[in-house]
Amino acid sequence: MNPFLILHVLPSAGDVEIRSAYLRAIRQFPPETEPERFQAISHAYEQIRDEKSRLNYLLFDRGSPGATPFEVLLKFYAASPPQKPLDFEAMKAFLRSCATT
Amino acid sequence: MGKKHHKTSRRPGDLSPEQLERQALDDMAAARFRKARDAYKILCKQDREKYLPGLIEANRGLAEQLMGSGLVSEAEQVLTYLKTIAPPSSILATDVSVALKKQDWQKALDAALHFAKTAPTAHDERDRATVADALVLAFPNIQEAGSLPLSEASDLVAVVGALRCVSEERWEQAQELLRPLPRSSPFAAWKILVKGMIAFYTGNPEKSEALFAQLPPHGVPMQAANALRMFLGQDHLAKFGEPAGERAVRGAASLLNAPKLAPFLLRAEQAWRSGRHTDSYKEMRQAPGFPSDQPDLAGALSDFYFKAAFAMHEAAHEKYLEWFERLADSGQFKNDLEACLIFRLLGCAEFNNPFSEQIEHFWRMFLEYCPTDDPLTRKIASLALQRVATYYAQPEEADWYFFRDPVDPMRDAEGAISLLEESIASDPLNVGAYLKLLDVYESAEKEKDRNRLLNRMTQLFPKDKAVLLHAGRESLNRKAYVKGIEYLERAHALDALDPEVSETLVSAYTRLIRQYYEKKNVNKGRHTFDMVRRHAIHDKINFTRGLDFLQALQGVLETTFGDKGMGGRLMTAARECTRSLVALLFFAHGYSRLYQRKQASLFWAELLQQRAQVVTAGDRREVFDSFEYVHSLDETLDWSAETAFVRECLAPLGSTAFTREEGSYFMPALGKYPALSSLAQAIISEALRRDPDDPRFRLFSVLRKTRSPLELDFAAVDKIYHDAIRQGDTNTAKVAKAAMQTAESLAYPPIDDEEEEEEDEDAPFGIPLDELRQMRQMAAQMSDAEFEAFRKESAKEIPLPIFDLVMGRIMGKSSRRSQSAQSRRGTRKTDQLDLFNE
Repeated sequence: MNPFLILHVLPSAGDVEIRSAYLRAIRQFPPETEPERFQAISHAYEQIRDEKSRLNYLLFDRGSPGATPFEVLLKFYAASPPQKPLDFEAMKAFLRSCATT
Repeated sequence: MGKKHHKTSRRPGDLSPEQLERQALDDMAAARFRKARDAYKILCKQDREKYLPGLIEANRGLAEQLMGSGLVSEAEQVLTYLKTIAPPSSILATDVSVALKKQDWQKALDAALHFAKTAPTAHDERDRATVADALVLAFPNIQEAGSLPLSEASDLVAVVGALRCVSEERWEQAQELLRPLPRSSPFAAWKILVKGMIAFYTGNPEKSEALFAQLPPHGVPMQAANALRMFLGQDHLAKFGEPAGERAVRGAASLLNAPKLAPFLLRAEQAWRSGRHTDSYKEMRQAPGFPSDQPDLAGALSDFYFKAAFAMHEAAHEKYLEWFERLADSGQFKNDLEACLIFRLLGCAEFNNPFSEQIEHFWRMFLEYCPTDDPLTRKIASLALQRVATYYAQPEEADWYFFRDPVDPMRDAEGAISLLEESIASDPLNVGAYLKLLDVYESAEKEKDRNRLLNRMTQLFPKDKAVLLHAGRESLNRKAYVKGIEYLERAHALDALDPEVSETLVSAYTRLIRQYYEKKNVNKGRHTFDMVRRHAIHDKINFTRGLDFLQALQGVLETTFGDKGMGGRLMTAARECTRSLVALLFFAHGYSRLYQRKQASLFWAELLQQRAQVVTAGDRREVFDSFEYVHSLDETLDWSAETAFVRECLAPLGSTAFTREEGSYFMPALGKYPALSSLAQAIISEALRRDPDDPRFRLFSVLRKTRSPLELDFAAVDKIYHDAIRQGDTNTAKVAKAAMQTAESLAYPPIDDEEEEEEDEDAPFGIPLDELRQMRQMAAQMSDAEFEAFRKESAKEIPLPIFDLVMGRIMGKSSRRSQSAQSRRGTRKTDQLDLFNE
């Protein structure tokens, strides 16, 4: 999965911002309690820790983030920050869309 | 026999009333409402009073079914008819449903209120749920909801209020609002949904799943819950089935703030799952905001489509890339980002194609579509060109692991140099491009260019470890040890933990020390030894950095050039701290022989006595490693006595006392020494006696018999490759595949039509035809040994790969290639071993 997503930073983020995001993430998901997530975070950090790594990732990375589009959606969800509920207007739209489909 | 039995179906008009009624009931039960309606219509003609309720139910069912399929106008037609036969109160709920489907929330609210007023005691659960949905989805505010002429107005206020609380993460308040709602309330399903949502968003998936499981199967709460359930487990989509699954995916995408992707995503998923990968991309391509380079869902999906090729098996991979290549040729890109991603994909795929003619084109096109206003563009260009140059600088053949012939140094040295210069011009601080250019100059034997570049690099990058390491090594090669040590000490200061730097540094010091001693400058030698000790290690056998070996070396040097007594003391100290006495003695013996040129050194007799101590696999490894190190000190010396010693130490390998791992370790290494070759054969024989199907040793066996890549027994290696894959021996599979690729690439170089036409018929391969014929005739009459000698002799004048090509063609050896192997030539390779393609 996209390392920028795992660390919750934009592709334009710099070294310092990425390192802060990495430290924040490993504090949130320590290896003792969340070994898989910790490993994913560490790997993501290695992929984009400095400008050269980031450019190499953008240019040459070949790791497919899933086996099917829908699996990508689920992995995207799993890798995203804990989901917050939709705001009230978006929730209204969402619930109303459930009536029309 | 053979007759087809057609199911006889009778028209409804041919059936008796009882049969027709039974059929109508069956159709109703099976949700075949249209057929049921037709049956009830006929029945109503016979007894309207009895069958009218059935006709009304069938029409209601049909109207709802049509609405569920999104056919709202058709549903409305049925509803219009329904109003002519049914009492108004019985179709009010259907009116509400239609208004909901048409997204007319006010009309749905009015119809719901009308229903509540007209049929307050209605018992149909679905009707009650539909009305509740309409009331909630109108999202009246508290005043509006409170003033509604509705007995459950307070329940409605609670549900809408709780939903607002959920959206604002006020969980407890939401729970509080819902608490008074009784189970009998028409809004009970909404209460369950809201509680499930709270559990979902507060990280309690089990509770959330349990709550959602309590929901009635129809209505908005269930649809909304299904969307959330998609994130609770991958198998939900399969459980939902087609229409519900589609609705759930739409909802899931909405929850991820990507509602516009949803309709495309579902079709793309279906196409991908049925193996229609490019159709899947075509579907997704229509979605607004796709492709994307942002870390959002569209970005994740873009990542997937432009990287999935590298996880496909070969046939699908080829097909997928061909489609993108056609799209690239047509130039009909959705936008510049798509063009960029497509050329990136094609460019990356070419790295695995040993005969790519397009790699540079793809990457240049990629750069053409890169945004010009991005401050990183020049760095991106520099890296991309550097990577293509690296491809040009690689040998064309995949792997020469087992073959003894020399490797063609580079695919295109000039191309690599030119691209690296361009890369450096694009980003003068791209140290990687300089380092690569350094390697290319070295391989192309452009010493002057290399030295000039290295000087420039040490000025430009005085604090770059890799540059300093290169500069240090280069100085060592020129025997400028002091200068080399200066560079390496600087590299060491930058990264004291890098073992490569430390190893090279100690190696530089010991070379300088040897030079001092050899020139009888003993004091300087001793002083330098004192400096090198701080880099010594104690915890493992290391011929360069191990304290025991450094002391032994100084001991030998003192004994030879300086103070014999001191030499003895140093050897004693080395013995006391060594981890392997045999390795230490072998080491000291090797250096003694180097300086004293006598067969029997001070240590030889003791070494012979120690032979009996070489018992375990670890001991044998140490002896062999010591021998390899000592042998490398001067390969021109006669090491036959030492080779015989090693052979005796390794003798158990020729019988039965070795494990598969030990055999595998020694096999490739033994092949380098003709005197140990028979031992290698004995290992193979014994390993295959134990397990005739062992792919690793079968491969060793085949490769040992293979004099050159052109003689490779393709069928045998192909079979070993597949057997290895089946047995999960991926290392052997990799080597087998590499061997086939190597042989293929040499036997069938890429066909260049123009060059073929231009080939001089009188001198194919640059060898006069007469001479060629003569060579071939001679070769055909030779024994294997004679042929090998002839081949070696010819290598002085003709590059061996060319010699093998010439001989391979005349001797027909290339015909051993299997059909499957031929079809693989020149294709791109995926990143994965093809583990599934039998």
